[in-house]
Amino acid sequence: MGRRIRELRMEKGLRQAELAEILGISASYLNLIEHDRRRIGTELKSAVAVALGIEENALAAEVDGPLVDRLLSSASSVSNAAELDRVAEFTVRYPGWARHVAMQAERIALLEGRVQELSDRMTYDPTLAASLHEVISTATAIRSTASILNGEEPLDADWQARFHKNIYTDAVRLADSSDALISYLEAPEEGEVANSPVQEAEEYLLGRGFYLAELEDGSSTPADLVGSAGLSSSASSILADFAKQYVQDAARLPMVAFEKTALSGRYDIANLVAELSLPAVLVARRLASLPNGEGHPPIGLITADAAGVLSVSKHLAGVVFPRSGACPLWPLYTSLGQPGRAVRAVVALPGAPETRISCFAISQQIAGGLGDAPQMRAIMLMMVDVSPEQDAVQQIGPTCRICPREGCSARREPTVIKTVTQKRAAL
Amino acid sequence: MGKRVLLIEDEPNIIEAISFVLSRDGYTVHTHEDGETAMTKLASSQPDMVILDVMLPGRSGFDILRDIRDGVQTTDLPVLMLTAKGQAKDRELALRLGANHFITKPFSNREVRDHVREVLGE
Repeated sequence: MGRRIRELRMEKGLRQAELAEILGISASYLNLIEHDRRRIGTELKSAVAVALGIEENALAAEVDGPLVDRLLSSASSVSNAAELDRVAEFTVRYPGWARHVAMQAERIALLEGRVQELSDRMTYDPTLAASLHEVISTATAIRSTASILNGEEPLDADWQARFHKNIYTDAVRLADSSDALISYLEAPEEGEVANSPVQEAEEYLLGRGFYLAELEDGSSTPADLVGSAGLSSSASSILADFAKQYVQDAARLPMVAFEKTALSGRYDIANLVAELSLPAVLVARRLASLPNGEGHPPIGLITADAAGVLSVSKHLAGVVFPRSGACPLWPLYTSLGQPGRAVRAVVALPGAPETRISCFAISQQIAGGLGDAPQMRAIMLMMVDVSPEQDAVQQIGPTCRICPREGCSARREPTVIKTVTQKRAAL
Repeated sequence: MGKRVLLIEDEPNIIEAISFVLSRDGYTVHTHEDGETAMTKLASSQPDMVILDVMLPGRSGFDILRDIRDGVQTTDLPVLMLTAKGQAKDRELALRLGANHFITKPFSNREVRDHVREVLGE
């Protein structure tokens, strides 16, 4: 409860001394309460609730930081900033409704993206344009040929035979190209909303914990894995690339031995890279593929290109890493500015200030050479930091729009929620 | 010998059908399937009119149209563009680049023949 009181106090923009004065207690006593070193009596608990403007039972509950972030990022239609200040309270009082609202907002965003994607497809999708051109050209050929055969002017037998054959071959082509076009435009099952191919592949891999036992022991090939996964053709292509890389990694660093090494190295990638004399990106991928349920800590691995677009990534549970508009202070993006040089940082998000996330990021050139634009890829390994050493924590945000941090030089747009300064000014 | 028409189109059976219709109407029809070498064919055949598809292997019909309009000898050469139905942007671009007219696939033989007659006379 103490931590909850501290979170709510900070949300309201109150200093410890200010709240203590309202409550009629000393600031040092309030500090002990907030760090759970003193129990809080019934009467004082009621006074705290009144001072913070919340229901008393809201004090006892833990705030789901990631859920708050999800709701704030969806709050584009909420014009009353005071309501946005009460999002945390909403999640505590009505957790089921809060999750439902967040889920619906995400579904709407996905559908809107899908609509935009489909409307852009006709204009910008070269594969679709070529397929349509094939269908229309074949239909035109059939129409022109049939018109000649059906015309009033007589045709000699050779021309008749020639044109009949043309119609036959074009009809077969039209059937094939129509079938290919339909497959390309294959709609999802009724009631489902298709994720992007990357998300579809990620969901499959997440269900496997990013650990593919059959590729580790060589009992299956990437083609077998993709064939049995039952994904769409685009997602299958992405999964195939992932699986091929996985097989290469498993050959260089077999999991059976690596598990022991990772444990003894305390999962510290810098130590493991030094010990194994292997590239950091390889060790990072192996760490992210450690099998669940074997006592290994949760490990996330984000992969992005030079434009910051995420490819198949293993998100760390409880950490909202948006696919677009993420905080530019993440080490992932810092590493793109210094290829080949590792960027390490312990970060914290506003929604979960007590949770420290240890990050290791590095970028490298994966393609391109003299005369060609270099193709960069960055990876960022993420683990919850539980070390007793209190390294300096870098404060980062979820996304600028819902980030309360003030004075951030990396801010791209104003935030929709009140900062601490704004809250104090309103008191 | 009748007026010369150069048909630049990669669909073989469209070439055969349109060539048959226009030849029967008294025109001399040259054909070419590849966008990359279309200008070479144009120079050698010296047509009185060009029928030009938008989507071609090698180079697009729009690039070829630009070259035709940029050429001193060909700047006023009548060009009929063949575009796909529904691609409004293609039609707008064709006219902006100087096509005399366009017809959309799937077109009828009569449409092609009528446009050619209108430009070259019967």
